[in-house]
Amino acid sequence: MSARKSKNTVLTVVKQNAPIFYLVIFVLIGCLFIPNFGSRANFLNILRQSAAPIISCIAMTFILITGNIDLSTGYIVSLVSISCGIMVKTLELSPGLVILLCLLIGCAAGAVNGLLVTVFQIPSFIVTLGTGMILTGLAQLVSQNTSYHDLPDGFRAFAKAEPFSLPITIFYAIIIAFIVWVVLHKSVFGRELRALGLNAQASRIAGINEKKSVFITFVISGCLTAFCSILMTIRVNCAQPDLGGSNFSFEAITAAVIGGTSLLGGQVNVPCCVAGALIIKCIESWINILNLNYYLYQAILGIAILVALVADALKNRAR
Amino acid sequence: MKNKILELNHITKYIFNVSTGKPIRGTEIKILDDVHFDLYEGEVHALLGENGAGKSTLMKIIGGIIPYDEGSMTLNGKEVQFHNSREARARGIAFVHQELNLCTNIDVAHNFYLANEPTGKLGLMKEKEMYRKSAEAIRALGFELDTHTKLGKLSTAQQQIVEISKALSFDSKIIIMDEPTASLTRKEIDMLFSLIHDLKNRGISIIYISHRLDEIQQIGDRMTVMRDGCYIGTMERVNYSDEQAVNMMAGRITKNIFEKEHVPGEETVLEAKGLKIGEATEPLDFTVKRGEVVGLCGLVGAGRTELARTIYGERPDAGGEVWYEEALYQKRSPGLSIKKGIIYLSEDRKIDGLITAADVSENLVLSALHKLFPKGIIDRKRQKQEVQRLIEEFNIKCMDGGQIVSTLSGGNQQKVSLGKCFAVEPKVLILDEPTRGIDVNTKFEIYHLIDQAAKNGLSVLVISSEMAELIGMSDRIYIMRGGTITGMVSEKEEMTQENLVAKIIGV
Repeated sequence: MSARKSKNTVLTVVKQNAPIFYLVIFVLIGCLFIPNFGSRANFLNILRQSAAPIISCIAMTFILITGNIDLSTGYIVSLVSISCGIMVKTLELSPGLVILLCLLIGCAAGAVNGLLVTVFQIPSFIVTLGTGMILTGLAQLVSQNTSYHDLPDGFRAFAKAEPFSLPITIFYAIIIAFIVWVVLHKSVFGRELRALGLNAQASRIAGINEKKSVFITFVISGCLTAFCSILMTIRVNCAQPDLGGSNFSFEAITAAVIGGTSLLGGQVNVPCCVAGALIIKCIESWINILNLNYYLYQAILGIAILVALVADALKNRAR
Repeated sequence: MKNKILELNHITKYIFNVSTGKPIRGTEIKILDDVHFDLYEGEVHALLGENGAGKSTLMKIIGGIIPYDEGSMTLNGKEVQFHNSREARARGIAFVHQELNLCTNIDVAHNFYLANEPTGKLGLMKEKEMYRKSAEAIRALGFELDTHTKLGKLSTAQQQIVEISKALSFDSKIIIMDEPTASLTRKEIDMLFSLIHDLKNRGISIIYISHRLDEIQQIGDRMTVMRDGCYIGTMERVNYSDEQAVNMMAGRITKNIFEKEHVPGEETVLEAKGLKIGEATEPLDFTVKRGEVVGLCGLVGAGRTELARTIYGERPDAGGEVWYEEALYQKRSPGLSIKKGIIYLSEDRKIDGLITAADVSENLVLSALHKLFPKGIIDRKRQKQEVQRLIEEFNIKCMDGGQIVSTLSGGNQQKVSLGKCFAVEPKVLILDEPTRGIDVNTKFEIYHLIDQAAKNGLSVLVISSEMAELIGMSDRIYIMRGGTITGMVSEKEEMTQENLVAKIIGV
């Protein structure tokens, strides 16, 4: 650790943005040693699969920056997915309206989380564990044991279009990442969130409205997660109450931590989080190409998060 | 002839990583440069110096918290280099810190025995013994505390008492006290000094860091002065003079008593009517005029901090009204107060006054974010401008705005905290122990700043346990006892230490 926050040397820039450099290394290793990894088709595939993980990771950063955690995001995905199916196929609403309503459902779920965490002061870990269970139950109830396949093309176009021969979803991810980058790194709101994560008591006395800010982060996270769900539902072309699930939030947190986010709060780097999500997808691609056991992938993911957590702990020893 | 039990020679320490104690790479900046210090058996050796002189650092080396980089340290004739404070404690060196190191969420007895709990056959803690013995140890100092109380519920002064009695319980031969009287009242200080005399007679040596020259004269056998990380000189008690000490510390002579220049205005800016700070307290009234400095004094536990925080909106009241600029101020909150122009400087900068993990810039602008960047986006240039201005105005000694606050000295940290308050351009400033743990020179800098600001119309409510400070700065002083205001002194003749102390204890 240095006495100053940042020096403008190349070494510091590299250290602070390490995950991006790791991503480059992973891609290079893949290109050199793994057959077909470097092909255009494979890269396109990775990009197609990365959009939702990137957005879900970025959604999670809003929660992590204040020192909270959201374990319910996977179940928000479930609820939004099945609701989406009902709205599109049974109610036959227009795609625009469906998307808007789904985002509202996500906001509502986030609002419930936010309310319980701020007003009732229950730790977010427990709150989101509970609401997650409620949401998955709700999703199953709403589905009445049916899933919806073959979604209409008008609706699917939202995530299936391919401008410049690239999947449109990756553009969504980039735009969202950029907006969140501006908010978290350049705005007053982002600065307040960072302060809350580092020292909530001092921030309160300094005049920051903790309840309002944390509430807003949960709503934003719910909304972005709903957006993710729409993209995922369209990709698998099936609206179902099982989409997302328990792994979803875990992967989002893993990507964020690999991207250098501290679980204690107060430290988030959006570009690095994007890199973190991409690293995970790269590794998944390796596993797929080499036809290795999927459980090996899970184990590697587990090791990756442990390594990232140890690195995080070493960095934060001063705090 | 007394034995020399501790000797440090040519000690040098480079700036270091606060978590490992090892020097930071890429810099040759020294915190301690060729420092000398020694200690005889049964003596009180006082250590004086400005902010950042290196006193706390030297003591941390003796106390085993950080290692020295060059030089030698000899304890009882053997050369030592401690790796942690436990080692130092085992060799008879105990440390009572300026910034208290206790756990606020567990009770007194558990703090007392932290990492040192007496255990029985099954390895379980002997709790009854813990409560009893810790209570005895505290009683031996002349204080009475319920050792079942959660530490966080005690005031800073009471927590300090726990820390001192804990240090004394280790059969230490050397006790380092870093600003021990910062939060103690006159009576408590006298008790501490008589205790120190007892310890001296028992052959225990004390290294006493303080900025209070009157105390040092009272209690010290020898006085050593440090400045900018260097050893300046040592005086025996017989040769000691305040002037010479201050001269050595700062290189210039300063007056000891502050005399305010500002004159308060006529209109009332802040007013409390029938305000109750707690369910079981009496309602209180007070007023603060434009450009006035109003002091608030009282014993520890009288409710001064609670009153300040209730007005600020950080805690709810139990009845009554607060009026600001002729209008009723309801539904108070820190954010709303700042918007209106009221800001509060916290008593404990390490806990809630500053974000110690962040840098100077972030801390300085933290309360003024909405004012400086009304569009909601941070303008780096504007931030740098403002930070530069504040660093210069408050004479904050740091590398630049990017320095992490935890690496600054206590006094400079306090200046950052104060700068943060002024950044919002307040009309009312509520200060809670603004010069706690700060040396003479910086104190006067701060008094002067407040005086100038009052001249320009700033109203100040200042809580302090240092009578001289309060008398020097204030136009009027309110006295608090038992959660309410019991008196007010406004005539210059009545503002004497004796008079105030009498009112404080209710004589």
